[in-house]
Amino acid sequence: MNGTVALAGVLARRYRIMILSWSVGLVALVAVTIPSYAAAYPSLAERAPLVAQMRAAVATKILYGPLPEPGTLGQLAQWETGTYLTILAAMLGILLGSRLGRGEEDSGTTELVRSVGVGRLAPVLAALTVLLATFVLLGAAVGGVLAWQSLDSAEITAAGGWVLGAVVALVGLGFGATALGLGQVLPTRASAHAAAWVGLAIFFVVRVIADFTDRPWLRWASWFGLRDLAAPFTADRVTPLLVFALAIAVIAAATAWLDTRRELGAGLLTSRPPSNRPVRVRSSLGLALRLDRRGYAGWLAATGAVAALFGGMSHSIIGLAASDEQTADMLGSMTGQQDPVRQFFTLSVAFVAIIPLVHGVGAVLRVLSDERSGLLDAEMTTGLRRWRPLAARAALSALLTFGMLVLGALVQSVVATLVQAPADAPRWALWTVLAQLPGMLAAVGLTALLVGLVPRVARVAWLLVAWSEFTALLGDLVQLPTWARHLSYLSLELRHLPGEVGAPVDWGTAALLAAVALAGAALGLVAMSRRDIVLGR
Amino acid sequence: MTTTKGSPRFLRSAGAQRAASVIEVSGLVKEFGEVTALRGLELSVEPGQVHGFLGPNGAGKTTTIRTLLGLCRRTAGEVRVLGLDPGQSSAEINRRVAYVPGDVHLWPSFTGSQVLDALAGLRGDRDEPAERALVERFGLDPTKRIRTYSKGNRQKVALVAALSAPVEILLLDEPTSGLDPLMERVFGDCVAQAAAKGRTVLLSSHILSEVDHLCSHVTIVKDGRTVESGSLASLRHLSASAVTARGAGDVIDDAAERLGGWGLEVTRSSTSAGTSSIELSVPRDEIPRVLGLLAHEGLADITCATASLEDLFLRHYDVGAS
Repeated sequence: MNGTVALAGVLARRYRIMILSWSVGLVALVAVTIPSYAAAYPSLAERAPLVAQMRAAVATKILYGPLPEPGTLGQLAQWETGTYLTILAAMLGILLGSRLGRGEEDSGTTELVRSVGVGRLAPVLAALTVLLATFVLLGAAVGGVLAWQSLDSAEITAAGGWVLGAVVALVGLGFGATALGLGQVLPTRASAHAAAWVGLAIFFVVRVIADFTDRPWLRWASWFGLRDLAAPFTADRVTPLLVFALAIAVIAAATAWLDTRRELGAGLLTSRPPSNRPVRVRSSLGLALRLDRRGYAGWLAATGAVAALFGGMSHSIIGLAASDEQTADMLGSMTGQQDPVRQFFTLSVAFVAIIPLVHGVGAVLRVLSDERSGLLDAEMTTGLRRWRPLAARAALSALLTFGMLVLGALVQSVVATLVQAPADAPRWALWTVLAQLPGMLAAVGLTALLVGLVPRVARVAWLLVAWSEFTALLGDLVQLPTWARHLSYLSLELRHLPGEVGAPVDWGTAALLAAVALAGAALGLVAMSRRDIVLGR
Repeated sequence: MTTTKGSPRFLRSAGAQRAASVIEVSGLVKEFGEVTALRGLELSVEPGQVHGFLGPNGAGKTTTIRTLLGLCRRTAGEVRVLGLDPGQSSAEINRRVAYVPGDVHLWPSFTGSQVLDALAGLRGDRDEPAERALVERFGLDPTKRIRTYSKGNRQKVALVAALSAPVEILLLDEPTSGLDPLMERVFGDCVAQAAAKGRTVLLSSHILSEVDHLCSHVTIVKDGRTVESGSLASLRHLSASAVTARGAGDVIDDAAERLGGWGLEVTRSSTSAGTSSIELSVPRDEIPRVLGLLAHEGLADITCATASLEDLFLRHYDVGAS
């Protein structure tokens, strides 16, 4: 135990920017949700058709789970935004749990910390403490915002807000502790990290099965089932919260126990022997491909799955928007579109295209982490031109991002056809996603520019991604000025696409984004050739 | 690179290059923001030399080596490696140079042999028999993943890659910091063989016995400046020698007083047999006069030893410490 608090302080300081940026984003999402619902559907009566349709639609039930009746503002918020909150909190938990545990060990920090005489359990307890503090504060902030909003609306309750806050905190903490625990068992950080993501997918599927097979007890087997068990703004049950909190305590205790039974830097399970097949690379491109190829299937699968979900939802939501004025108005205010088909696919882009966008930016930023860790030194001192590693990552990133976008467009379009969405829906499903290609390339080019020119602040590229997602989702709703909406990687929305499908591209914007991509990449490569390669910052 | 395996280009043109330095650094200044790492550093390495590069921590050795490789850009001064400017021609230079960093980082998911594949593939040239021989000599198990290697084993992978690469210059930045004594000896043999083949080696090291044993020339840097440079023999020759003598207490007192009068710092000590001894550091020019005085006073067991590399080096450490 000795040194746990001090070490937790060090870890919290080390990861404060990551924790704060995620938390602020999540709380902001909560803050804008209920006012936007209240503006679109001021009364329960006006909301009735939406609630009925959403309760009947299969695809929305897959993504969000069952929408409780009668569909108060609070119930709607916990149903839609609550889903995003729990998934994002789970992602944050996995990222944090992985970094605080095996990440710190792989970097050598844990060994150093142990050598100064802290208790045997201090590193793992400090990691758990940081996870606990992060998610308790996040849950409190979510609950606090909703409780504050409850003062203005009879349709949401402070109790419901606090229960939803607790759900978010417990789901994030649960995944964080699970990721930390997997790090005790699996042989490498990478395998533990990958297992945690697979776990996220499995828990999501378990929740879906629970909803669709009329086996509500299965919700007890999934972190994502907690929200519907606790039922914020409907029943506000505390017992499920306590049971899941107890489960987390058990996982945490098991994690600490396992930590004492393994070697530092290794899991209880040992790796299978490496294949040792010769690596035949002749260039930075070949090396980057060889190093990254394992992750490609996951990125493509994630894009395909999200595109399938939105393709699947298209029929019911487009139908609802066509028949219900409030829904049409709400989608109209979010998208700036009048036609229900265009409304839906303008919105779906923010979900289908965000995954390629995140991949594109992340893949280019990897050059930066390779540089800091000294891997770029090893690569460049074989006699490569200094711009080649960045060029290789940018090219591969652009290529896979393009592939993900095409896959997402095709899957969304095919599934929209299968669920018998309106006749022109499949074509819009295809074009709206494909139209984001110039924006994706601009993201890759601009990130390359940041890495080449201003490596110290290059991670600001994530802020541009977050801004793009914000403008795509909420730009119209919060009535951002046009120029601000256009400052986005996802700015080629249907509003720019005059006429009908077939002549869909605003060539001016597309050309601008393509120029940003090319100029950014070119300048980034030139800058990379002219600056120091910096280690360890 | 267009060399035949195992016969680097420099060997064929060694005669033509003998006259010029393969590494020539003059007035090198390197600033990182407000921090000045190098303040007019000078370094000259001739073809075929094994050149020791010494200095306390933070003296600027690694920054100098990374500048030679083109990984850092110089702020001012002249740098030439194989006649080329690293700021303009880092790729050309790196194809003819192999580098082992002090802190080796390699792709953790690759095995040792896959890293050797990748580095040789990127370089575009490989001497596989030499590589296999070095793997054996260093006792490296190349079938394990890099993430499971100790620091010493990662260092061995980098050493095998560098020493087997068909290149003209080896830039080695504290390459034995993770190796056990047995492997340090193997490393020493490998460097000697590389030098015998005509390769130039710049060896940054804190292990003075290693430098003493392997290097014909040294450059000592401190606070980003060169404070000593030349052949080890000439540096020793030019440096002060350590003189000791023994005798009766009153004779020693008398000698110490006269030597002190010449401005020399004398250390006195008494032995258990009732005699005393003195020890002093004597500049080269003063040695005949000092030895003459000691002989004249009738002192016994007079010794005069040239400075060791440790003496040369510690002199600069001492200045830093004071």
